[in-house]
Amino acid sequence: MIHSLFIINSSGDVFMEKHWKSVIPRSICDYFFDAQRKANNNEDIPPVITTPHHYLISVLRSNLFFIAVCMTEVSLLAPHPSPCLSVSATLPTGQLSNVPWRRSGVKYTNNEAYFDVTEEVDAIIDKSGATVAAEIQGYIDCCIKLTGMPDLTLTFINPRLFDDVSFHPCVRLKRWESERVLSFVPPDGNSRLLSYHIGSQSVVAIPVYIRHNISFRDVGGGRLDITVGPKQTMGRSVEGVVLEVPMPKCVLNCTLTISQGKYTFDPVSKVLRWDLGRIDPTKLPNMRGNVQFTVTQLALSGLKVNRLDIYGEKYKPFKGVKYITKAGRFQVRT
Amino acid sequence: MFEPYLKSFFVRSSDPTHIKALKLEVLTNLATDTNISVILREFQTYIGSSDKEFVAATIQAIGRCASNIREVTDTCLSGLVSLLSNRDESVVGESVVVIRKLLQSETVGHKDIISHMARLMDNIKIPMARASILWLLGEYCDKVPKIAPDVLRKMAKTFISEDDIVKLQILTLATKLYLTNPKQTRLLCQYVYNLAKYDTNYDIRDRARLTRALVFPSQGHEDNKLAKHAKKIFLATKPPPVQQSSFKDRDQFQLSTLSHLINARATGYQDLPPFPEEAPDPTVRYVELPASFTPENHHKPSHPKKSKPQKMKSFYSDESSPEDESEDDASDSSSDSDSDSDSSDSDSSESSSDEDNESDSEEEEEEEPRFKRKVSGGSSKKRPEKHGVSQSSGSEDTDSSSSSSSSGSESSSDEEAENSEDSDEDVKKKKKSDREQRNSVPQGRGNRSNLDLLLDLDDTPPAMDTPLLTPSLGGLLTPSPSSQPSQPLPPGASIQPASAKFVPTVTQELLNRISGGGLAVACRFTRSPHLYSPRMTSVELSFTNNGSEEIRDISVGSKKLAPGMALHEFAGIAVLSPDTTLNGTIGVDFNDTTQPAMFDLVVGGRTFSINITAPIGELLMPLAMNEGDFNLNQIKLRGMNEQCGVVSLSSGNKDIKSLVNRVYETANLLQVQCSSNDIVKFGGQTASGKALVLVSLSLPQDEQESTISVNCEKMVISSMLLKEIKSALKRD
Repeated sequence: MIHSLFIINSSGDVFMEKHWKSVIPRSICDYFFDAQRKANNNEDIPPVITTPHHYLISVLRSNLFFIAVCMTEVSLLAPHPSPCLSVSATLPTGQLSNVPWRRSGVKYTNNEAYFDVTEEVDAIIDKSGATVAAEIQGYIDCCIKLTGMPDLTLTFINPRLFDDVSFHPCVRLKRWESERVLSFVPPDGNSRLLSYHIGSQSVVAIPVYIRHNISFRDVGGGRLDITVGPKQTMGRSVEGVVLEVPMPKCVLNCTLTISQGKYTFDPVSKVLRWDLGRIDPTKLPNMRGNVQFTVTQLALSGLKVNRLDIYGEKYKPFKGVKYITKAGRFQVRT
Repeated sequence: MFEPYLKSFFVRSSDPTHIKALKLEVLTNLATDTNISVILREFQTYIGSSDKEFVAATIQAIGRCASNIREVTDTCLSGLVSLLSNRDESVVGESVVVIRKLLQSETVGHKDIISHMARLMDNIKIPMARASILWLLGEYCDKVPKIAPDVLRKMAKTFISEDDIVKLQILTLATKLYLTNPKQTRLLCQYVYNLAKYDTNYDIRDRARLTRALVFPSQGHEDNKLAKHAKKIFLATKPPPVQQSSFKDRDQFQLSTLSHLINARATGYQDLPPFPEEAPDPTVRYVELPASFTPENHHKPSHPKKSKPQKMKSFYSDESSPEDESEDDASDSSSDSDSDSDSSDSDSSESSSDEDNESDSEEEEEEEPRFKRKVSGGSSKKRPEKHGVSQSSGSEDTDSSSSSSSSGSESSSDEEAENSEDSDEDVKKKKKSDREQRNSVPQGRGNRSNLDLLLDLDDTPPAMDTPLLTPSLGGLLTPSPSSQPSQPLPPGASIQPASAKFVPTVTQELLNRISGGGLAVACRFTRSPHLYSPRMTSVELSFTNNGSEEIRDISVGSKKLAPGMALHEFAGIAVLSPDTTLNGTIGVDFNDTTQPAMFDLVVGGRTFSINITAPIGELLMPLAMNEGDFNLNQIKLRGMNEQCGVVSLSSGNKDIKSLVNRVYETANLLQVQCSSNDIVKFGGQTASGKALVLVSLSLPQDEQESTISVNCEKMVISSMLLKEIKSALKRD
């Protein structure tokens, strides 16, 4: 269904092309360049451009444009070719156990099981500091180095928090549904055990607050005053705080005095970036936009792992749980 | 459905514009009495955004919310009015237009808003907004009797410098004012008409002439009927405009299709088939497992398992003979297409066994796939003998079996007939035909939906289109195998280059590793168009280093080509480390001859002579055309240009599917959709000369022989192609 594929770099050169049916001349990309010229920035280019004979479907990934040329209907919901083509006649080696995700005969001298609970906060905060929308995308990554075929059970203190969960295939869904307990034979090594979503229904406390006061004058610049402070972090420090302030096109440069960290202003993309580092609660750093931060040792939703039990093997493993809260798409409006 | 997730649709400043527009649309559609305040507050913040397009869309969305939800109309209106004092002119312009639409649907008591807007007239420069204000003043001039004439006075002064759309509205305002308040505005009105009379735009001139004739009838025509009713004509009550979303008419297209996105019908778009008028015959659901519903069947408990291994079998039996494979695929595909009914069947009848499976302990669940695999292996061993039986019955009455469909329904009914141990041939035939008649209508419907699925299967890149898949398509399409070639082509796109149906995987050795000093070169015809020139045939050269040392600098040296031929060399290979294989693609314009292309391969200073000869079938390119075009062109290429031959088919090539495959393997052609059952047609063109090549294969029933005709204006090509196809069909 795709006739041709063109790959275009950021300076607008077609540097790779592939044709499946007939060769379509490169000049078809001119339609795309027209759309690019019209759009304010590269993200605003419409995903599908209609030309008299073709349809151009463009995707932007890491500053490369992938342009697929189609002539006929493309449907996403239609079934794709059956995967039977990729099934090989022989089983892969090391699959002799009846648990497909774990090979048999695993041996470690140090038996360890680590769980990283990572939560990303997607939030929109309005002008006055009130939270408009906040959601948490969380995931539990595990690094498990255990001998033999252990059967683990992970219990949470407050499993009711989860709105929407998706498990690694090793987790037994029935026990989760009946008892809210994660029971599984873990895959060896690193894997994502569980990813979850805590939605808009439950209240999400935002770990930082931002007070800002921005005014622009028509002539001669404006004033920018932003204060960032920690909030409800239960004693943990907020680290790696970065503020990104997208400025309007008319801003040429920023000259700011800051009390902490350092700032850079990119005159091309008009983004002011303020790298604060750790927030010290006693002395508040004083300087809109996207905020990035991490809070270690705290899961914002209040999720806590209760205990990890192991069955089926005799040894006592070393267990560790780490909590991290990060900013996902965290936006403050002005 | 999406109401709880309302907040997920809130717009982020980093979203691209089209996403913002879609989110606005979703928010507007989700708005209800309860959540409207949240949404409106959200909209309010959007208005401060720097994206002009988005702000305009937001104001329109507010307007739509206001007209949809009665409770908030007033608050929306006051909000919009407050926007009128916004600094940004585009915001003001957009909100004027929206307010006009809102006021039009609600006429009571908006005097202050109108007078406020009239005051804005001096500042707003956007023509659409100015026109909207003027129209409002005209429509409600009885409510603001003092302001309207004053505005008209001002507008008359600036008339010449206004935009066309504003001029038209000034005319309308003047007319309406004259009709309601002739004393004050008569002169002004005439002045405006005179200005309009000499305007450069003919639309304005015409409008002025028409209205003037209605309002100021010329001498002698005072009793004009139209003029008497002028007031009724101009001051009629108008229906309020409906505020529509720009996404409104999208729902005529299927969701997630290209047509839905661009809101226009793309080529190849297929509508959802309409709901059937009457419920389809439930027997279509029993196609896969008819036996399990007949009480006299002996295999009842084992049946579901039997069907599954059949489905899986084709994955694991790679070494089976081609005929065997194609048969399997047919059953495979039919069971695929019927998997719905399959599962529903098992739900209804075998639900108890299903539940048993589920309630088993987890360890057993984990083991289940392996268990199934074992079963499948066992049955695949069993199958051949079963096969033999059905085949023999097939040869006994070739007539009925070849004319009937090759779908799984037939084979299963065969089985059933055998199971019931009904020895009488005639009864069997009768039964079969009965069943066919019964199934004919619903089957047709099923075909159509299958075709939808097929479209995408067919459109996959040629690499996916292995010979394994192609026959299964034929099995799916049923009943006439001639409808095999893929999608029905859209009219107007009759003859088009198409992608190859089959890509050969066999390679031809060009340079032996012993003579090449460790370097082995093989070539393969990829049947894909060459980038450099459409006249060229792509040849993939694979270089393998079998030696122990690196080979450096592989490139094409001097070329010794016959006149008219051309060769486009591949990008040189700098380093080829031991035990690796690298590919390079060259394009050869063979000039429609089978003369070899000779060139020197320079490998680190040494030269090797390479000699590539293309089989005649590789010099062709497939063309998609419909049967009419095929016949038309075939008639043109009669006489000397036609080569005919008769070939006796080998035992492996009895059915049409394997015949088609053989032709695909031999030549890079594309099958033409054809109405007749016993003729298979293929279309293509020569790569270099672009001369049409048409192949038709007639296949009379009950005969071992097939007539082949090849039409091409290049006689050498047609005769050689005929020879090749003949030998391919003879071969076992």
